[in-house]
Amino acid sequence: MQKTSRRQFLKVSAGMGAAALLAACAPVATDMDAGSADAMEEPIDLVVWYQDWDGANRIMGWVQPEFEKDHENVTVDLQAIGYGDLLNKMLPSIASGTEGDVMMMYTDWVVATDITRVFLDITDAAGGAAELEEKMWPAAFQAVEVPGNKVYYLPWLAGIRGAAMTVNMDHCAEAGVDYLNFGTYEDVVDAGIAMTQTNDEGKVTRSGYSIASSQYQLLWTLIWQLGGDFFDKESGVWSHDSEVGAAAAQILHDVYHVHKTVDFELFTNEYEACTQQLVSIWGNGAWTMSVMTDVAEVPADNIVTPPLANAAEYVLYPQHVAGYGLSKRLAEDAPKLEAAVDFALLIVSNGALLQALDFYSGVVPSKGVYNDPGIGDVKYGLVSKRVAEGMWPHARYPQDHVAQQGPAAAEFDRAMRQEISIQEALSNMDAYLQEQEDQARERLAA
Amino acid sequence: MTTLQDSPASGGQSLAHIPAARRDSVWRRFRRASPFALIYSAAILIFYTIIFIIPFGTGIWLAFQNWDFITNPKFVGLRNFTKAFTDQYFWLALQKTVLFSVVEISLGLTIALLFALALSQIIGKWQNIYLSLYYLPVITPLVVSLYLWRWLYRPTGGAFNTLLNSLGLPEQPFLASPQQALWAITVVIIWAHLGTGIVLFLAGINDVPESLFEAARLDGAGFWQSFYKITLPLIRPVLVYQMVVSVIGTVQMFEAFFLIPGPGFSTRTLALYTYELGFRALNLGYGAAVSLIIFVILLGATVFQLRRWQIEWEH
Repeated sequence: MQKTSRRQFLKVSAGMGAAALLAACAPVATDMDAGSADAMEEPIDLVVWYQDWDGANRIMGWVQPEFEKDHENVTVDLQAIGYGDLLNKMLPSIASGTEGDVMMMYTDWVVATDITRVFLDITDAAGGAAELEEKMWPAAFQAVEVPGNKVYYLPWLAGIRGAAMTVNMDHCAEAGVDYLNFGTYEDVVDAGIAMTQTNDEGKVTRSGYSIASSQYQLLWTLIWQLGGDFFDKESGVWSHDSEVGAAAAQILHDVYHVHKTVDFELFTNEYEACTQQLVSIWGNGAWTMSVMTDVAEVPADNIVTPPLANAAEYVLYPQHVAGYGLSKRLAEDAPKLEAAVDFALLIVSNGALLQALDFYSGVVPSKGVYNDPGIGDVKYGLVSKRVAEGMWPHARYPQDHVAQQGPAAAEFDRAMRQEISIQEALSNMDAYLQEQEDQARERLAA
Repeated sequence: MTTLQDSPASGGQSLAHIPAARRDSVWRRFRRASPFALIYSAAILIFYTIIFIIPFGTGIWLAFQNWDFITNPKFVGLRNFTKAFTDQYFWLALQKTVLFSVVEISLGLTIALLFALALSQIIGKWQNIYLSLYYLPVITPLVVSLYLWRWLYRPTGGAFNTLLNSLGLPEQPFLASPQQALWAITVVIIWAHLGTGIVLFLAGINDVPESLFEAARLDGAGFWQSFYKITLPLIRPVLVYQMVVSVIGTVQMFEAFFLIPGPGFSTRTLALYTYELGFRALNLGYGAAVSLIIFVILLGATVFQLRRWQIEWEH
């Protein structure tokens, strides 16, 4: 065994003495602050589920260290999950109590169920509904029917498919199209006609204006703009099959078959076709502008979908909103709830959203971020501001209870392809949606 | 070692039908059985209960409810089953499933059998080389293959249309067309599964004793006569196995229709429809009812095939 030298003994003794002296000089803990000291030091593991997407990863890369600066006792476990997996696992996990503490969601994932049983009511924790609606555009909270003006999710980002259009700037410049000054929807169609290219057989080889990815959203927008409606929130009755519904569908049908600005056989996937520069104007969502610019190197810009020339009212349907909800389990765990609320509020804070708008060209529901002096310093800040301020005041959601609109959209697509008549498609859509609505209401009442 | 399985008393009969004296004997044997046998049996039983019996039972229960994971389940009796029979989307999905299965199986197995037959004529390392090449798509992850084929099928700028164009043939929309999409996916799946069929058929063909072919040749039989009279009857167990597995595989095929779908309902099969009902529409009860109907269809098809071709499995 090694012997301890006198020098080592003196070092250890001096160290222990210094430690004892420091401990003696430390303030005496009182009963009152003992609890908070425990709470401060109690380690907390916060599990965050969010969509695995490059943009979200970058935002989280800013949020996590920022959050941990003020929450030293909180360990944030960021779990990036693919869109489909997140959608598939969220509700089953919530049902079995194994969900994350903070969860990213899209509003249309929860329209068919009772949101009050999905996420925690964070109205008070987030500062109250009135204050939130002051800071954000109220429409962002109306994408899901929520009882009693409560807040169950914090709206975050919105791609606004159908409510915004993205343009290929090179194509517009070639054709002399001044897309920033489109006054009406008809102007868009005219520009589409001007930019469409065909081969010798008359087949479209480049689409001037494609509605392939947004025709269903546009149908709802146009029905509202023509003064009609397709869903009655109170009675739960779907009614696309109406004179106004047929008129709106006809406008979209004409884009394919009269104006011929797009052809079904030009591409399988409109998004991919845009990267191939096969489309000049499209409505897949404002988020596509940044992807086209940064990834596909296609110069692109966003505009708000303009109103019909004869619009009775300027209304836009922006499909859905991405947001964050908190696990209901947190109601039993005050320190964790506090940390989770702080984290969620940080994600939707001006700082985080400014980070997002440096590489995300969609819109955010927060008015504050657009009034931030830094908005002009981030790549897509001013474009997003222009579109958000032009879109949110006109945004409307039907507040229906159908989570899967796919079959209705497919019926409409069949009419656009002239497989069935417009009237038959609208009738089929109503039949499907009504059944889904009725079943959802039956569940909600159970 | 004496186990319950070895007991003649347990062979094929339930305990209820066994006379009391023999039942006592079974119980005594059970008590005398090796602890290892009991542990192994229990482990399998527990595993099977967890991964099959409980989920299957839950599925049956679910088929009688209206439920979305979150709200309280509401009992709806047989409504989910009766609804399926009047649901045009169910029938459309069934039609797509049957079309896909019939074409994929008949073409896929025929091509695999022909390739196996051709390979059986090649002796030595070249047989293995060809076999490895044909088997490559099987070991390639299906998701990767599907995305590759989607690129090949692109209506504008895709490899196939570039080829057609260079040959002066009209371009095709492939996956963009409701009429072509199902067949385009069928081709992908045949390609992806071809290797498995070839390997199994080749193994069956190689097992046929060479002396039978020699005898047939002496009797003046040609190649195709030998094939019909000797090869085909002797590889029947492989053929039936392939049929049964293919029917189950094609009816349950999901990834292809999910990842490279055609427009509208053109490639919406029962497996995809079930998924959409459960996870997209949050209509779990109806989704479970449809999946039970698929189970009954598959069970019926399997029993029919085994009885039709009267296969007695040898172990």
